[in-house]
Amino acid sequence: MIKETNRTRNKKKLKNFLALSPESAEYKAMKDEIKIHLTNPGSLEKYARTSGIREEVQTILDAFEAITNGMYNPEVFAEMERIPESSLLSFWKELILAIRAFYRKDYSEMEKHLNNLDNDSPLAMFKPILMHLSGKTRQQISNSRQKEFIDMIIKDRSFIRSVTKQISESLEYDMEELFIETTSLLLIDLNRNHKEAAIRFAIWGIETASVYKYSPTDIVATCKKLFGNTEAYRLTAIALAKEEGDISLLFWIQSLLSRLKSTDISLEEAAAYLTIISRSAEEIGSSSDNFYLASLKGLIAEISSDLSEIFPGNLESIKSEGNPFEDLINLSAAYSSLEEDKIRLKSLSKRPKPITIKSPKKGDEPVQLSLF
Amino acid sequence: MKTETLFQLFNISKDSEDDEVKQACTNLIDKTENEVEKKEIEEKYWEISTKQKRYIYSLTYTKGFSDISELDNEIISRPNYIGPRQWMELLE
Repeated sequence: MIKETNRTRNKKKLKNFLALSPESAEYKAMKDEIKIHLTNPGSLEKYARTSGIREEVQTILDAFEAITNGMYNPEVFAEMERIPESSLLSFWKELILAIRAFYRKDYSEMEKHLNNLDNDSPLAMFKPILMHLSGKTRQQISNSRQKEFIDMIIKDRSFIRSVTKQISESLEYDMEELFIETTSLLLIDLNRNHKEAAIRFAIWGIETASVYKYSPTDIVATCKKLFGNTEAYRLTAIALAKEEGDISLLFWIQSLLSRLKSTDISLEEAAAYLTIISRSAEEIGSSSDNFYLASLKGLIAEISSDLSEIFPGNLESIKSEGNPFEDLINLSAAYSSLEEDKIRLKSLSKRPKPITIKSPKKGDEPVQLSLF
Repeated sequence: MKTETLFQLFNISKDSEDDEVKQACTNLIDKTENEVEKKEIEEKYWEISTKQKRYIYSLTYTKGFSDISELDNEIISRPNYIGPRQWMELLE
């Protein structure tokens, strides 16, 4: 009831103020107070006598809507720049610019605009909130409404923090099952609202599993459900590139095979895949694992068959060299328009034979192939 | 470098025609005054100058987090947009 009375009183005050001539002493005396306590620019529009104020209000409302919704509207911001410091709406302009700087992660700019807000203005309540959100201050927010507001802007944060803590602990105590399960669950959750973060997290999860000698099969299976086979195999190939280059190569081939099944692949895309595959094949060079070699040869036969079906003609000159790594370089040179792929092929003839056999690494067991 | 930054920098997609990409690079260089920056743009252009190279770039650009703590930063640095009503309600 008291709040309502205050609101009515404020409305009346605003109405009386806007009825005054801007040249009058009374108007000048009241202006600062009105400006500081203006919590709703829309109320100005209702009682404004001049079109100038109404236009400024509209600009502020449009800019506020755009910035809080993440809309791209450069015209309205250019218009807002013209609102002078003397305007009744200049604190609103400062707040909007602070919010814009916050979303752009330009926190020094954000702080500059927040400091331009009058401390007695209700708008100043956004100072600690934005400072907290940007991480500029660790000051705790005790007001429950403000806390809810912060949660809406960075929802998922506390959940993600608790799950990531659990994942770190599972690694610390070498709990494979917990790591794989929690990573898969977080991946599903992240993918709902943070697609890019989910993809980067998936790569981290598979790579970390590989480093700790855990089986990433379940994480890869989750990736397949979330992103489809082509993308899941690509992400796995990227994740394993450092730790298990030979397995990474198989995943690049699987990703290409999966892509070839959709038949809308362009020659450039297929050639790009083959360039990546041949770079990897060149790096690996050989393997003493017969199971691995047999799998690789099988995959090469499948790729060759699919490629010749989709792009007939390019494979005429390809003959198997017996070494599947060389076959992959050959394939790449046949489809690629890049000089580097032809050079890679030429350098093969200078390579001494037989090729040095690489000793098998721990963790290279054929069981990895069950990932497909 | 952040995801797809090169495509955004040149305002192109992986399927843009090669001559469009070249034109985009020329325009960008024309707008740039600093000689070092011009050279950097040219180097970046070679990374994506042909359609095949653009596909290689788009297949390999994705990088995983180097540490799980990066996930927290990533989420914090992508705050939600909640619309004007929620902001206004806090003032009431």
